[in-house]
Amino acid sequence: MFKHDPTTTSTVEIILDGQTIAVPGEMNVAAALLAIGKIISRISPTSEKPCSPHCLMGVCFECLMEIDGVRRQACMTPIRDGMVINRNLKDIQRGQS
Amino acid sequence: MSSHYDTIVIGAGPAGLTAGSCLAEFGLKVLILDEQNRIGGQIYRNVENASEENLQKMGEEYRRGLKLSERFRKSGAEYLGNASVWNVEPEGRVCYSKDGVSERITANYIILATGAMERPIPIPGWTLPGVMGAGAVNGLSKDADLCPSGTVVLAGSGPLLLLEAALLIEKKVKIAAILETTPKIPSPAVLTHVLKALLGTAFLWKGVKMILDIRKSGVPHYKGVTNLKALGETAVTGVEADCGSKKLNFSAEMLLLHFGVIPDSHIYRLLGCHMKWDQNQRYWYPSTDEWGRTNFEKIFGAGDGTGVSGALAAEFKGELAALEVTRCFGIIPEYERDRLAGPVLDALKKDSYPRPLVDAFFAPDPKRFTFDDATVLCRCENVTVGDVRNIVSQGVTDLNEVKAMKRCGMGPCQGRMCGPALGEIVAAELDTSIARAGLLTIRPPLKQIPLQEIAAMDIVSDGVDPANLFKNQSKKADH
Amino acid sequence: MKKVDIIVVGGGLSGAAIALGLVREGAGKVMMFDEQLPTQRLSRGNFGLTWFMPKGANNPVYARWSRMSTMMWPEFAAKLEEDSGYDVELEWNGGAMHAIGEDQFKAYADSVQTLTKICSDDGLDYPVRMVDRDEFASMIPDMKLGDEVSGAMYSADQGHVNPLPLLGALRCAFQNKGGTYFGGLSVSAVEPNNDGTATVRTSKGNYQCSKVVVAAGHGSTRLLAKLGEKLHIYPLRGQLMVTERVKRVLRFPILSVRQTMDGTFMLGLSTEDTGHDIRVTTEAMKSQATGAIKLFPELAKLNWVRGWGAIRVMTGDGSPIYDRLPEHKNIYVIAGHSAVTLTPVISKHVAAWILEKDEAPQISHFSNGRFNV
Repeated sequence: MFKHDPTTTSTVEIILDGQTIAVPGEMNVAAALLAIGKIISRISPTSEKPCSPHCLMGVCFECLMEIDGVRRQACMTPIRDGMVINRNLKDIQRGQS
Repeated sequence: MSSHYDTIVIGAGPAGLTAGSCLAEFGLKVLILDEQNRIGGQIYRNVENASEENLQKMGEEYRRGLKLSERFRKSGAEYLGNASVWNVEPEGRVCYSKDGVSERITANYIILATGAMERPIPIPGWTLPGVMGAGAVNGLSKDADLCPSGTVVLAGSGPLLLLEAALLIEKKVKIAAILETTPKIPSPAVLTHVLKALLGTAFLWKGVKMILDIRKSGVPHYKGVTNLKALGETAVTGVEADCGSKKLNFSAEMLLLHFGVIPDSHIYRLLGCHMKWDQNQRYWYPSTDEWGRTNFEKIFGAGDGTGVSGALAAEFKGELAALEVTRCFGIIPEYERDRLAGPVLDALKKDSYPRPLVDAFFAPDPKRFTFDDATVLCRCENVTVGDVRNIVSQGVTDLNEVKAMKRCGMGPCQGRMCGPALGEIVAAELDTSIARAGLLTIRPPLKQIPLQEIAAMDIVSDGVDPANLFKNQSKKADH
Repeated sequence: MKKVDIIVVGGGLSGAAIALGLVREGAGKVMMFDEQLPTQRLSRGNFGLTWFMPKGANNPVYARWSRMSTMMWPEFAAKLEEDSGYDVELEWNGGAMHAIGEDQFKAYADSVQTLTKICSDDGLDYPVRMVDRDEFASMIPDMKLGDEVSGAMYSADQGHVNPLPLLGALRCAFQNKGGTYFGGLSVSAVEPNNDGTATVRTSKGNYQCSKVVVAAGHGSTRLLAKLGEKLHIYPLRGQLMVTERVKRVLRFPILSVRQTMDGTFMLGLSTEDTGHDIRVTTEAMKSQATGAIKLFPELAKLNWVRGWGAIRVMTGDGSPIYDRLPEHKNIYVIAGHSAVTLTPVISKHVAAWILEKDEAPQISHFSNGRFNV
């Protein structure tokens, strides 16, 4: 959905949903994932449908992801080498589990 | 890091940077807190690291951010990026979270410079992956050099929609259509503003050039569009709309929405600032005096958060607030404040000439928002427009009562995305004014934080007793 | 002037419970007036417990009253759902108060003993027992207890609901049963007439009725003052916080920590003598978060999403007020906290008393006059 010129930034390695993967550095987590085509940010706990970042400025909370153990706004979190990110795409966070 | 400042400024956009620089230049101890990790706010996002190419593309307006950042870096003001403010109290206390640690600090004065956000207008399908704010794509480009790779539809209203369209055209992004909800023929209200606007001809010239660029590109451009709808099952596959009697349908991977910008008012509402309703621009803004002082002595507002008037005006308002705070400290006398404020006020006035035209031209028309019953209004809690209408039909008359009954506005975004439309819908259902329907109450935390962070805070919790349910037994009833 | 049989002033839990009870008992034309003031909406501040466990030492009447109401809950909820279509999210899996350290465990054990004796003197059983740490842990297999948790006071005969849909359900059932609800309307005075009726003056016109029930929380004070009656209530702030949604792991409520059906954890509850200041304080949030983490360390990483304060309607002895004015017997007043637990008794017994059909023996103990000195 987005194109990114890989020569413009450094690269960092993160663990995304259990897989080690290289993403561009020097940007926020949401942007880094969009840059590699990962547009789904989470499954909505209420509609149970996939979400993608909407505002990229900290307002919509659609990019909430589990980042190093805590759910944070990906668009407000700078990407870092070694980050462990879980989007919990299969895990439906429904009350009645 | 200190725990007390003369002034804390919240937000590092044009208003915050200018206010912070000005105060520090007077020798005051200033801290700027900002949620992003780089200064500039939305308009000057990442300007300090921008490539020459990006500076070129974004134009002179963007380049101005460099001047502000240079002044700020020289001023000696302290800056803390990636600091998310989650509580502010009228007495001058601020709680923020940074790198997993929350702190509470204090200041004699606080200047809120939180800026604006895109007006969220729910349309069918707007929760689909691939529907984004036009401003979001603008930010991604400044921040991360990301550019849409698939086919895009831009829809909505306002100068920033056209600006983004022009930028994407220049970047050779495939645009299926531009769908403007703004009517084709300007209303009489618009024409009365034209004369005044001509005084700001540089601004107008830019607007004309932008529209010519769009026209030259051959991208289909429709005006007066209604019934916008994003299509798709698990992601956007297309966009549908009506233009007069014509049914429009485009294949697209992305739909970029923009319906103008509104003040980001949560922080003011959290504080309990008096809010006013702008009937023309249809948004709430905090009531302030000419220097930006709110109803709280220690709390000032500056920039688009106090009413949308653009980046230059934000800069001027930041300067004015800082001058008044400096006078409050007794660093300068009143006549010196006024002398310094003179040219700033003149510049502010000059900058405001074209605004009535732009505002009138793109004024949101509530009649054009259709709000179908099936459309999701509250994205966080998955509440539809119909759910809200239903509870209003059961006698609910207040926005907070709708929230209590339907969970609309109760999710992580705290009503940022549904609040404006919720007010429109409830007021329309009750046939009353938005002012009467009220505003969602905002309480801490402004942004969610893990329990461990607040538990670890260095504050004393004296005076808070856990509820003693045995209290019922502590005193004997006299009967 | 519009004429009706009964007007209920106040549309919170107490008002809506009584109004529903009245229409169910066939009271005729009943109206409920509600300002919908967010600051006075105490259902927001209620923790949602339907229980009796710590209530009523030194006050066996209140102990029995709470117990009666708690026992009525499962049937009440089922009937309410039938009448309204609302799910009030009742779960009847028991409830516990956890103890931190051995001293608190002992203190709780002593309370259980005292309350058992008080209840038995009054011919009432008290189905509460102490569970030690191991047993408590085994009751919550999906969560790990904090190191300092020494055990809990537990009863299987109680549960929790969601107070917000409860309010919606009461209001909706009331309307479905023929009642008339007005939201966004303020009552400025209740005036007795010579013919034994009363006039209710509102921001949208005046109404005449045979009986008035004033159940307007802290808003009741001004209405009764005009009638020469001092209502013996005072404000007591409580603050709550709620986390993001997670998988369901806690199936019964614990005092100060419960997991709602939609997965959020609700943390309470403070008691602060701060008048009508409704603000959320960082101090209370810290104290509550700390307490919750002590109980369940795994909550530490959960995000706190919302916080709010509410002003309880407290009385000197903690039990409610149900009374009719000595000079104006057709004007009734209902006031008190714990309206969730007490919803069934209010709806059934207080309504029957107002209609002079039946008077539960407890009601006379809850007079406003008991606080007159």
